[in-house]
Amino acid sequence: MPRRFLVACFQEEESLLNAVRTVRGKGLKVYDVFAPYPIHELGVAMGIRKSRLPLAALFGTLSGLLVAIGFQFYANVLDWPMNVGGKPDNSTLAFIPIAFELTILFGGLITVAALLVRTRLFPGKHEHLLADGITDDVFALALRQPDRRAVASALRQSDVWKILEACGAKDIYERESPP
Amino acid sequence: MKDHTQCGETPTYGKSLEASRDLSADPFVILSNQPAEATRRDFLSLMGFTLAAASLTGCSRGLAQKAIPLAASSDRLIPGVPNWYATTCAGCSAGCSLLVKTCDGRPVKIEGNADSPLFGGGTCAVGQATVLSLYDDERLRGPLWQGSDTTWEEIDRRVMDGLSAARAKRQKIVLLSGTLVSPSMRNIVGQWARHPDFRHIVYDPISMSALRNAHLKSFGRALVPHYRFDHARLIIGLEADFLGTWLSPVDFARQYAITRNPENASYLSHHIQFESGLSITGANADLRIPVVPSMLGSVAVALLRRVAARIGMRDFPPGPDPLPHEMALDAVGDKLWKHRGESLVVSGVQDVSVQVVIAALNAFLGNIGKTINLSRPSLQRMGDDREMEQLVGDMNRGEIGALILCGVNPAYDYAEADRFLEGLEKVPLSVSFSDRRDETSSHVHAICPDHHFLEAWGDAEPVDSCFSLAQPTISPMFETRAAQENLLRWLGQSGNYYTYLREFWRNNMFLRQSAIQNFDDYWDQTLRTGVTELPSQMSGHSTEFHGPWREAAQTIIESSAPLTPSSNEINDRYELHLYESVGLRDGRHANNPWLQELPDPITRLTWGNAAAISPGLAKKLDLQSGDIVVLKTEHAKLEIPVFIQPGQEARTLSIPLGYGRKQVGTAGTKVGVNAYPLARIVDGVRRYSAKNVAIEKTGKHEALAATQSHFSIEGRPIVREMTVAQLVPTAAAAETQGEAASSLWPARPEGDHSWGMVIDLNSCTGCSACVIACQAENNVPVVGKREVIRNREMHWIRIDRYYSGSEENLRSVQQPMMCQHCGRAPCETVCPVLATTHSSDGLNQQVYNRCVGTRYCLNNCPYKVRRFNWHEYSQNPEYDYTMESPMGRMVLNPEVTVRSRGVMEKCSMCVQRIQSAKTAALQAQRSVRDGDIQTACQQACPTQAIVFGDLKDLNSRASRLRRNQRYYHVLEGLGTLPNVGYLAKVRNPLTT
Amino acid sequence: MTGVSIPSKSQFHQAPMLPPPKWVEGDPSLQEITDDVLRPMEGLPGRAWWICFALSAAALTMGLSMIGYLFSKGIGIWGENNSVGWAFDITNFVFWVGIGHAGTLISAILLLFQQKWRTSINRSAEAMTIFAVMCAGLFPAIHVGRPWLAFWLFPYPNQRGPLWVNFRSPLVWDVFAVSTYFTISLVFWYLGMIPDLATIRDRATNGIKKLIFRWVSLGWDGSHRTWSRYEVVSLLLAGLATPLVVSVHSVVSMDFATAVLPGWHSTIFPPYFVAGAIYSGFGMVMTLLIITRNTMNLERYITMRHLEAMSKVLLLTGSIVAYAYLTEFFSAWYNGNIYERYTFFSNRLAGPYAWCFGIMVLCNVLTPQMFWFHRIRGSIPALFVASILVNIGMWFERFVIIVLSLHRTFLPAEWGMFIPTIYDVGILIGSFGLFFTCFLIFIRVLPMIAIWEVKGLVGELRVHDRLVSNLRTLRADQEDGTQEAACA
Repeated sequence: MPRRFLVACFQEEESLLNAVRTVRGKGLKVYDVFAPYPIHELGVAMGIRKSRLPLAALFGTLSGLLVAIGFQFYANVLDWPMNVGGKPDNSTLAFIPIAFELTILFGGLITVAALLVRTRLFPGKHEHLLADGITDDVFALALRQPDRRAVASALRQSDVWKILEACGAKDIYERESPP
Repeated sequence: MKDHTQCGETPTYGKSLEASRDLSADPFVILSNQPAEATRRDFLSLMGFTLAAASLTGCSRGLAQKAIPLAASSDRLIPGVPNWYATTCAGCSAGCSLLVKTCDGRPVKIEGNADSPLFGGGTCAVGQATVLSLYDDERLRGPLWQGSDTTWEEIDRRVMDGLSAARAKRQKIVLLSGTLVSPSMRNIVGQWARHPDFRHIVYDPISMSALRNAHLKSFGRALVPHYRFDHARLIIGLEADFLGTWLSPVDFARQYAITRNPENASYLSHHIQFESGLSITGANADLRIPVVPSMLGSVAVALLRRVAARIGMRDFPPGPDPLPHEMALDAVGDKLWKHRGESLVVSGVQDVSVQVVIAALNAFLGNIGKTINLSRPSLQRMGDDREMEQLVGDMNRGEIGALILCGVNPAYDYAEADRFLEGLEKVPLSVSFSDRRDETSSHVHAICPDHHFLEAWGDAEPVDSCFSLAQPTISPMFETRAAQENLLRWLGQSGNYYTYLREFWRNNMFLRQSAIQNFDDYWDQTLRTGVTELPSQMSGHSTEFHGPWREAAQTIIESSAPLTPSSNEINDRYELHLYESVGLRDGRHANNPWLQELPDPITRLTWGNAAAISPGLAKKLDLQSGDIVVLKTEHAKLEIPVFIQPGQEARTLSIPLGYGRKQVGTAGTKVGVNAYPLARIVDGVRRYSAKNVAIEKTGKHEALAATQSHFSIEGRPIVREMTVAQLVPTAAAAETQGEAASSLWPARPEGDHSWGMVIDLNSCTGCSACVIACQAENNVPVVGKREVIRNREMHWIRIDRYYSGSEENLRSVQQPMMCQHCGRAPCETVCPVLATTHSSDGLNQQVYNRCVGTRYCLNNCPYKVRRFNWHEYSQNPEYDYTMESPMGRMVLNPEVTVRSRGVMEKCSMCVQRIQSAKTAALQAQRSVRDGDIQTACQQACPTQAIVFGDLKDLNSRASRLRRNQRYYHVLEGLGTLPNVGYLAKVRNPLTT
Repeated sequence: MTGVSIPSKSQFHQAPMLPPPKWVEGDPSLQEITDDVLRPMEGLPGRAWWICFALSAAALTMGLSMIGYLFSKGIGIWGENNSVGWAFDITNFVFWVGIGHAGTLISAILLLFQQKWRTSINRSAEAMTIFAVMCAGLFPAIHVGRPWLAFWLFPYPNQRGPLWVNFRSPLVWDVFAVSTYFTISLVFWYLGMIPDLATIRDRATNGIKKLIFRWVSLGWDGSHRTWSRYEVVSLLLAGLATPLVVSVHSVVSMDFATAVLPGWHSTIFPPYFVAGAIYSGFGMVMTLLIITRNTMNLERYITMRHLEAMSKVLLLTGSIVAYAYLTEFFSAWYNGNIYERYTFFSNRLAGPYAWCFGIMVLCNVLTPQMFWFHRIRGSIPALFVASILVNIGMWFERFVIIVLSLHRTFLPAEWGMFIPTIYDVGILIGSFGLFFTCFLIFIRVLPMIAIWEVKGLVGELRVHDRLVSNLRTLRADQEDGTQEAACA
């Protein structure tokens, strides 16, 4: 079923911040905020939890390291030992550079893959912009409609509008997004 | 016999015994049971084989099956298993005894015959290369009359008509040949000589007639003595490159090495060389004194004067000593006297008086019969320049009715070639046995191409009563006919030369021996061993010296006025010295790409010749190597590039002969400059030197194709030298057990063998036979002048030349350099695709199929012995040398891959020989014995300077040499632990 | 990253009063920024662009045809020989890899160090990296004797087996280092572009353009939840790419350092090469930026401050390189090895290629020292010339290291010379053609300045300004308060 949102557009980074703070102060839940560039205070203001993506990076790097060491050992020691310049089959020191490179490679690719999966970004995905120009110069705040908490705190729709206007929203409207 | 069993079953060339039995029935059976007419078909099928071999990078066995041309197979021809045949080399007149390896019917490799008492298994570069001449595309496919193809019947008819016509007109019939070392051939010529109007004239482009005449005057017989360097403790050479080109270099080098072995220092000879241009002989001498050619005679006189004084001859013609060598000459004189009876003075100077003085010197010193053998003379260089001079005159006067040219090319190498050609025009019938259209044969009426000696029967007697036989190793590839057979037929005799030869031996050699009663056995026996030595028949000749030495000395003293550096006349007048180059010799092999690309052991030039000048002269005239100058003598002028040569006598220009062929073939035509016109006949002998030479600069420059550009050793301990004094007596010499290899790494599991090599720098003369041997064995491509100039020659073994010391007292050393097969090989570590790794038996092996050609190994090789295929050198029209034409590819060794473009290659220590020897040992259920394996370079070396062996076997020759006090590794400090090592060069200074 | 926190009252007195350096001239609105950066993409290219493009495309075509000839004839058409096995090919390889170092350095290391001036140059620097590494990768592929088998350098499972590569060979390390570097740089570059691609998508009027950019912008919608994760990953990538940058040229340097040749066998190569790489990389960035900022009037975003900052980096890295040269000579003299001494003192200083060494010293040692002077740092022409000299010098440095060490090694008998052929030179020019063609296309079809980052920077500046004014008023109030107290 289509979801309805109350969208408030701002021109200023700060008024958006104010709006977020006030709205949450009023006990409302901010669905999301849209901006042309990342605003760091928003993280605190919206109370976003710390990301777990670093764990993905850790996993990636470790896997790269192990694959590299293991493969080189398998190839030059187990599968096809050769007398190369009289050096021992297991020339561990010589295996380090490649181990290092693969660590980085796997780490990087797996982290980015994790990001795309987590944020559901994929080629050809059709964007749903709740406000025009948020990739240009518009800051937008979106609230779910109807908001159960709003109902609970006996806030009327009109009150929410007033609050947002008070925070300097240039434009407020309701919009539906496809499911 | 073990020397020749590289390819499997022990004594392989025992086979040639059976072979020869059949041969007695039909000389053409080796290749095929079909009659001789079938030769062309065989040739085609072989062609098919080599095409395949070159394209499918040769696993010989797989291909060999379809290569065998035998319909009904023979038990003697096992695909892929080579047969060996003993024969005799015709590369020059020295007549070395050879063993020829034939694979699937094709001769592919020439090796020396160790059973030969004269040559003991050694060969020279030219001998090694002759196998390629067999497959020369320029060879005529059949007889020519007036330049167009014809049949032998036609030829016979016309020639015999011409001969009878000449006889009718009472005109002379002349056979003009090079020195005939073949006794049977001499016999045939003897039969011709029964006709009164027949004359046999011997013409040697490199003549020794002065020596012969001197002996005529001194001992009553015109001969070239047989020298015994191995009996000499003091060797003095005057312009005689006896280690490189003079008379019989392989024999002499072998003898020389015997006297130069520092391990028995008590019998270590001194060697002093007086010469103008630096030769490899001079490079090996303990003392080398540069002398301008015109002064060599006075050096001889000065020595004679000192010796004469010792034996109390007061009436010695007075005269000044050639300055500034007085001190040296006194010392040499004393030495000579000390070693009388065991000294040897040789000279290549073409001047009768000088040779008389030399003969006197040897006679007074009592060397006759000790180091100089007159009762068993050498039968080479029988030419007499005066006769040739007469002949040319007679020809021009139209007195010659018929001229038969056998193995000579006067239109190229005679001083007055034009006069010869004019005369040739006037001869009603001229016949040449040349195998190609060359400067001379293209002007004769009939060309009757002779076999290549590998296709032919024959015999040789290089030294009196030292015989060797020659047998075909392949049936004639073309419609050629043996020269001897022609001469027989034109005498009206039937039957082929083979039967004649056999009968000749039955009636002569066989009767002179008593060991074997049955002639068939004797024949087979001789054919198998290839050589036989019989008691001499030349007894009763006087060896008493009665030469006109006073007169000779007098003439020399008068002719050479004392020259002081101050006198102005010498300042702008120079002298000329013409010499045979080690590669091309007299020039008859000019179309052999291997020899053209063989770096001269001294100048290291390829593909052309240049006039060597001393650095001082170059500075004085402001000349660089490659600048072209014009040389003017009284008779001729020559335009030639110069080459700055350390050790060159200050006022002399040395020019190698044998270059500048006008008509010889794609490879050799118009390479270098022909210097023969400068070698004039002066009072009856041909002079290879000239006085009063003027030099004019032309301002032109030509790039010289040198394989080495920097000759100073930069004070690096690459070549180690020591004097006898520094040698510890062998008994006391602590046998060190190699180097204690301290290593960070755990030892690797090793195989049963560790193949290694020890090269004795003291024995190595630099003759370069190993280079060609390696090229032939390992299918090393020829890349041509342009690529050599770009420093891309492919030789797996090269002979580095270094100079040290001052210009006056120049030290020159040579060092054979090939892959050192390092135990800690820098090249292996860096190859990204594991294309070069280490085998369990100590070889650094190159995997052509895996190589992608990053050239990292080449960069990281401290010895720079790796060779990269910058282009496709086989089957590429741009490199039409040996691997392009189907003919040329027949010489390819089926046991060795032909490398493709973009692949690295290098010395493999003849791994194919190692493998087949291992297989043989396995079949015989024994382990490989020391000496079973000989690498190509080792086998070719006349002085046995290269020793290959198993380093695991502590008693192998190689292992024992590695414990020698002179043993060292090149660039030891890098810790590459090479399996190839060197023995330091030992000089034996005069002062000891 | 570009964060200033709004100070609580207690912090007021320590609050910063000085404005941060203005990395953007004037005070453009967010929309202006978008317009400025995207203008070149929406208009038609000017004449200057067409001329440059024609030239570089021609060079590229020539290079490609010569490479075709190379494949048909074999690398014998180059001047290399059995003494000098590597020359232009590997020189160009190392040269281009070095160029490739600036981009990731700027985007990763400066990101970690919170150098804000990177924002307006990192995009084009990263693009430059990608193209440079492409050029670099070209040469190892074509320099092998049998290029059609070059893929054997990768350890792929095969039927010839067991058959693997030699993991002890620095060339194999190269294969991994360079391909890793290329991949990571590409990913980093693309990831950083996604928001801007979305911007283009939303401005696009043309349907196809919209379609394409929708496809590549992965449906970016500017959601802050995405933004926050996005930034975390950017930091992580930066953290990974930083050691990568250092490692790549260290590995490349091991091609030489692990060899036995005097002139190659040296332990200082890795740091020496990395410094050199950054040096040459910044040189190339400077060249490109000076051209683009003037031709595409982006002076507002690529300011003199940027160029000055870069020239300081050049001064630093250039000095490190100079020090490395000195060290090489010192150790050659100090270790007393006759071969090393010859290579450095006899051959580099006085050998036949001494002039190459001279050019190298002139460009790499003397040129950067000019940057001590403020006037030089401030003059566009001087910087432009200097930046080009830097690249010439660094090319010659690699030539000196490779050819001057190879052509005279241990055995004098095998000493030789290297004389380049037209194919050596032509293919080098061709690689420049490839590089500039790619770059010229890039500045037409992609935003060459990271729009969202610049916006972030500007936004932050705005916040800061307003903050300062608020502070002033607050201070005023406080003072009033105290006076009142005094009166009372």
